[in-house]
Amino acid sequence: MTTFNAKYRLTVDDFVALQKAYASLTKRRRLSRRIWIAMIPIIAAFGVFSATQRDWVVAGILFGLAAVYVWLALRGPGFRAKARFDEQRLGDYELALSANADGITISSQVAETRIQWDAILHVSRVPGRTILWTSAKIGILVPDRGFTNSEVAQGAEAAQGAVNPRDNHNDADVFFEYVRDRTKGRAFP
Amino acid sequence: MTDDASRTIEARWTVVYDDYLATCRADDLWRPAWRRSGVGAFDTVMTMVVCLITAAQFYLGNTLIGGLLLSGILLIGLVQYVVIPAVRRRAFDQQDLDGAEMSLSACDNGLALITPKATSTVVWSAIKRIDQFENGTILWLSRHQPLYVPDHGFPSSVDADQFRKFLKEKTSGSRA
Repeated sequence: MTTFNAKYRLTVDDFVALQKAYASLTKRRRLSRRIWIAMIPIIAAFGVFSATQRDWVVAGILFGLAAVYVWLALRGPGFRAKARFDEQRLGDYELALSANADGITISSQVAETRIQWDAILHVSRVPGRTILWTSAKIGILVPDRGFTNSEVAQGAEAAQGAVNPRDNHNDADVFFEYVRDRTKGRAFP
Repeated sequence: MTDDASRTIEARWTVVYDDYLATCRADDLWRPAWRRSGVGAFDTVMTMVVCLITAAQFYLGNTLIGGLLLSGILLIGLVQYVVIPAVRRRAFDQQDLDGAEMSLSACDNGLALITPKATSTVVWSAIKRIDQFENGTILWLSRHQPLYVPDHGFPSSVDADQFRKFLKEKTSGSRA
């Protein structure tokens, strides 16, 4: 049976990566983000126009608004990341992930959760990380650095033919493709 | 159902939107009183803002200030009564929680929560905080990880009370 094992402790960078993936997960979120990013040059243009009319108060307000938008575009997903990460106690314990045909098990010193594949609706690959989404609101992040069982995963991959063989891909890539195969055709409600 | 010999308390319920709303509202428990939402606090703020508008217009004769403050009222009202309820409803729908069958079992070692597609077990030391809130009990693993156990999940109110006593007993020591 194909089995993947990973051990890791989540970091604030993982949390920020999750937030970024969350922000672009659905079409609606991507569209919403594009719209308000497109607002930046529009607001700035009105600001310039107001400045040429020597209406300094309005120009100042518009430039201030544009600056806030730029700041949100650059820092939005990372805003208060450390505080939110600590509030959720995401880095308190080392996590152990085990995935096989039956589902995924994530355990820590104080808890254990078993999730059936039916509950995983989508999988995302972001640099250095794989994210399994049980809904458009909840993602399970698995950092690449956690995978340790190279021989097991790649051997199993070849034996099972569950994923397309490729050269030079590591366990995390194999895991991603395995999960993608499992979740093919599913959509968020 | 309560089993005194093995000290196991069980609850079963079907998730409804009101349970989810209760969980959302429960976030107030982490805030200082002046930051809590709800109709009472909202009315207080609105009254203060209307007084401010009246005072500002009376002393300054400035309609711009009145306009800005009235816009602020409309914005707060829009967020409070339209945006927040819509966001909560959408979040509930996106998580596909409506009608989910939940089963909770509490024993000496900890809690087990069983849903149709997942099973979680948690030791008592992972429970950071417990609150009795509205018509249920909320167990907080962290501020943003609440588990709401509605009283209607127990066979009777006596069982719900026993569950709360049991929780108090098991979490009275050190917590992780």
